[in-house]
Amino acid sequence: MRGRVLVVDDDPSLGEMLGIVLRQEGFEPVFVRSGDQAIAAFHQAKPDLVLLDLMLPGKDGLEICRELRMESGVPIVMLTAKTDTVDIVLGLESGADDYITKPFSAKELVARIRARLRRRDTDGAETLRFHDVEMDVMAHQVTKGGKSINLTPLEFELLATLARRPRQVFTREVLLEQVWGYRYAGDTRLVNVHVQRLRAKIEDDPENPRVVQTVRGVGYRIGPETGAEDPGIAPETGP
Amino acid sequence: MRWFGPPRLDLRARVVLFASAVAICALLLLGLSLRALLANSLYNQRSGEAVQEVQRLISQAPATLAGTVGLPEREAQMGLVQDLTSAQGGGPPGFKAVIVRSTELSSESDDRFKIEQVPSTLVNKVFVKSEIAYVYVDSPIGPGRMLIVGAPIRSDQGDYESYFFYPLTFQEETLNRLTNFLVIVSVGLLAAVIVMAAILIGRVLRPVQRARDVAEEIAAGNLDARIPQITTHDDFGRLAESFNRMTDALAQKIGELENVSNLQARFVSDVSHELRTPLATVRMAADYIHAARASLPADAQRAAVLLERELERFENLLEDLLEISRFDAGVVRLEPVEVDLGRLLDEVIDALDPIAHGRKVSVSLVVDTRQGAPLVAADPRRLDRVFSNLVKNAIEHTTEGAVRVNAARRGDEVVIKVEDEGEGIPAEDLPHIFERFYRADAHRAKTTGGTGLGLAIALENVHLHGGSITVTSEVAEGSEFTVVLPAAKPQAEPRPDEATTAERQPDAAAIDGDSQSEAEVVLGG
Repeated sequence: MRGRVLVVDDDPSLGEMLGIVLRQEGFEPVFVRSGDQAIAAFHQAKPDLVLLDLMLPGKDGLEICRELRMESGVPIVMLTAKTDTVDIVLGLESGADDYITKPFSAKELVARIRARLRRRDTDGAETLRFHDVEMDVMAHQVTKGGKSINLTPLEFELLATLARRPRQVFTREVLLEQVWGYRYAGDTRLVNVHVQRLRAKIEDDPENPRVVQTVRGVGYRIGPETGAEDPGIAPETGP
Repeated sequence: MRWFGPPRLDLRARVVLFASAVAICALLLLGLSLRALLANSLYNQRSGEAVQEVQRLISQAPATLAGTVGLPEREAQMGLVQDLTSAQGGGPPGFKAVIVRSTELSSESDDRFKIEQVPSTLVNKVFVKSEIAYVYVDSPIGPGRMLIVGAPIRSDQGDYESYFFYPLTFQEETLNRLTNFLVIVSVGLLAAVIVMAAILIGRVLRPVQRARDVAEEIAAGNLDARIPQITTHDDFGRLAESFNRMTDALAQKIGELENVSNLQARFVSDVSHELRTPLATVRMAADYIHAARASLPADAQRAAVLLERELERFENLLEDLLEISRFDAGVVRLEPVEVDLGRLLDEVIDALDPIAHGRKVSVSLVVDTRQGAPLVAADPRRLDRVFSNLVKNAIEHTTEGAVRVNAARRGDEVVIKVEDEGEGIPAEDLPHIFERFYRADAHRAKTTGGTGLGLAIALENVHLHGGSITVTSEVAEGSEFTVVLPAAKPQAEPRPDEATTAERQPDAAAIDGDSQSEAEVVLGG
């Protein structure tokens, strides 16, 4: 698995060490020290993944995250020294796919990067249809009511995982394992935040979701289409 | 004011009580002396008049007696009595009855009065000293008192004594009326005194009450509360000034302390960030060297292993220090969700399986749901940490034995017990084990590499959830940690009938299909 990784971090030692680890694992690291140059470096390097420190001189990590998301679905893994709830949630809401808290081991870091670069093997053409959404898994394309929707690879995989088994309820832990690749307990806020982001793109009314429904106390599922009766679990919202 | 009344009595009541007591004493004194004075003059007047009348009456007695010469003694006396009572001119006599006595016998105008009723002191004065005298006695014919005036009668026919009984009805009635009047006036005055005292003390106390209200408000957290500007320059005005100055000083101090607390929180956050970045580099470097240690000389290989291992410990210590600093800075906020402790404990024990297995310790979990599921409103990460710490400690202090974890809902609480069969904690260490860096087993070689902060953090976390944590232990028998947390609302109602049957065999784990009331998980061993 080869991949170009853009490392946005102001600490030279950490950057260098990240470089050693990434190269050893077969990645191709590209470095940028300042937040102001991050977007330009991204355009130049066209990386497969961005490793982004949240606290940067110049442009703030959250800001870079938002700007990257406006133009690209590139996987973003935040490096954060903060364990405060608010900072992590803010980072995820800005568009980061995953985060890793300093200090981390080389193993952890590589596992997180691999999980984000991994492409699920698809046996030939696979098309998923639910509600008015159509997913071409092979081509990584989604349309809703005929109109193309831009999902990041993570959002695409999250939606595909749910859609392959419509109506089945997925717990956050299962989604963390299948979509994020956490083999042990991860942070369930990852799921919450990204379901919100996904809903913002595919729901007619994100406040009143009907495609990706919350099953209170359990998890998420693709809800039944309008008119279809599902006596098993009452949907959280909707008529 | 301490010296009268029970000290716990309200100040207002005490003042009113005191004023009433003083007023009652004064009125009693005044009334009694007034009454005595008046009684004295009334009786004096009466006795003076009576003596005059008696003198006048007996001055004619010798003449009357002279007319009775030859008659028997009895008749002569009756004649005299008759003569004395049948008033001569000047209206009816003031006396009620008269008794005349000679040495042989006595006669009375009214047979309800007897000579024996006359006190001997009076008789002595009249008979022996031959003078007019009087005395007050209790009335022999009814309530009240009477005045007896005694006078000697000297005549050629012999010496007689006469005793005149004067009623005192008018004087007594006058005195009674006066007493009634005095009582009524006293009661009125007393009432007035009480009302005045109450009003007065109320006025005096009002500013004190206002000060108390303001103090309460400040106690409730409003540091901006002040006693309204007082214009008077009396003691209270000065008190208000001092009070307001004190509150200003307090508010300033608290503000400074809050500032320090914020600074500390910021400092913790900064330290956290500044330390973590170099530590991340060191960690990765250590990982790298450790992974590549095969190509190093023997001592360097060992160094790489030590580096890796101690770095782990360093990280744990840093995490714990930062955590305890966050508690100290007061920046830890609980964001509770509903947590099923049965499930959480199951996961905790599961994660510790490798350690338990390695030490040949079996860990069992019994969840008692007879009074409802052990649900709490909590931060699951924090509770995970608390119980991981307790169970891990239990495992590490047990050599080939069992660790039992029990969770049960008991009324409004969820009680979790972690019991081990370890070496126990000496009694002198027991009160200190929740202190930071306190090692109950200081004499033993460190084998587990704990940070010394685990129980201190567990205590903070349990307190954060409004719970308590206690420990009992016996050396060589084992220790038992008990965590009590306030329960969240139960999902299912408790079933009393089932509870009573189950009580008889508390150790029986009843597993019935999908509604599993008690589940047992045995790990390791």
